[in-house]
Amino acid sequence: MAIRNSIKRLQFHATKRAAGLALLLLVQGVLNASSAEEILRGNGKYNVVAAVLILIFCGIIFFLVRMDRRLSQLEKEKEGKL
Amino acid sequence: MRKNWWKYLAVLLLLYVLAGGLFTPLKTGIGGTDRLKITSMDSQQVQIGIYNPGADFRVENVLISNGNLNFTSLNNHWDGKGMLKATFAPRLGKTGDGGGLFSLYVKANGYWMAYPAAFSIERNPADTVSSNALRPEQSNLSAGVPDAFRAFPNRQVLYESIRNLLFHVPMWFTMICLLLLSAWHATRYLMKQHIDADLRSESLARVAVLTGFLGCVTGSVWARVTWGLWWPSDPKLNGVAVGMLMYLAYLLLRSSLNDPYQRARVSAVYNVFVFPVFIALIVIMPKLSDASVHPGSGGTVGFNKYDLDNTLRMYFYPAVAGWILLFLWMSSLLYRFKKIQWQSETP
Repeated sequence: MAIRNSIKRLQFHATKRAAGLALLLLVQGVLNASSAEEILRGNGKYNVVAAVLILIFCGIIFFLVRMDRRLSQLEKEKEGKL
Repeated sequence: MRKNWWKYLAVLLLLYVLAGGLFTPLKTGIGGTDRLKITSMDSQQVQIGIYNPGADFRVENVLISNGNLNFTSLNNHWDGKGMLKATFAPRLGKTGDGGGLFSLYVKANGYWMAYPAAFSIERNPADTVSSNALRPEQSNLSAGVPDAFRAFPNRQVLYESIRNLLFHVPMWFTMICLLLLSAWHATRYLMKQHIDADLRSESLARVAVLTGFLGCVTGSVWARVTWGLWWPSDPKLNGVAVGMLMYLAYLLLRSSLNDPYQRARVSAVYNVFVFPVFIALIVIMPKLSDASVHPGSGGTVGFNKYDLDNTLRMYFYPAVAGWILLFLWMSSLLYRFKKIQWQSETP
């Protein structure tokens, strides 16, 4: 049981780290300098829109994951009572 | 279905906003130039990048103006792909109002496009003509690109990122709306003492803090690309930072009280008092301050006046409604969870 829990915790940390890395890459993508041609033509700046949408999506997923964990905790408590 | 219609509405509105907001093209506009400085008298070629020119782009006139002096280009060359080469030989003369920044205007397909503050013109010592003799005829520059349907405004600095109006701005609208409802449920608790109202108030405030956080993060990324800083010093941003801290204090206050009825009463009173302060910090204070980079506060004008054209408006209001409904849905899920938790804790 303890081993399974520690494995679970490790998996959770791995996903957290992966999510952090993905966010970092995204921010770097936004920061990347454009070519001279792109700057001259106004450098569309479409990637900011993508970044903003991804961040909002991450926020909603964060909410979902928290809800999920708290719900399963409540389910466990209820099963324990029964 | 009858009870959940507003959730379907939220999804439909957001699908409409995502489809329209991401696929509608930007209007034709000037993207940039290859130089910031021109010298007086010399004949020199300037490269002008044209964004979204379209297939039948015809250049009719190119001129630079500082409001007093206009200089029309001597010749123009359009490469058919996005680069316009215009040759200027401006003459400031010896005296008079030569200086300041010149804006660039391109007339194509019957309409003027503007690129504000494009160049400064350096005086040439060899130019000894009195500048009063050089004053050309005033052009009518007020005729802009028409309010064409199915294209978003093409604004200097913003460009494609104007679409963020549909994603970043509604986060704040949602936060204010959820906090208003939260404060309303808090007053309801104070009047009726039903723990149900307290649970609703708490769930709304929690989701509102999430939307506020999302507003901060998305705004930060947008600011980095347009204003050049992750967190520029701005009355609106400072107000939001303090406002977020006040609501984090609300959540801390809740977790520090163990008795549920005491917690409900104290946090309801705090909530009712903190909401007007929050509104004052993020809406009224930036309006009163001298300068702000945000549109609609300080000396700057709002999106409403220049940027929010009819095409953008077609998506902006549905976006606000859709995001508000989506986050209301999320807070209702949290409320239902808290209600079941409460029922299982108190038999």
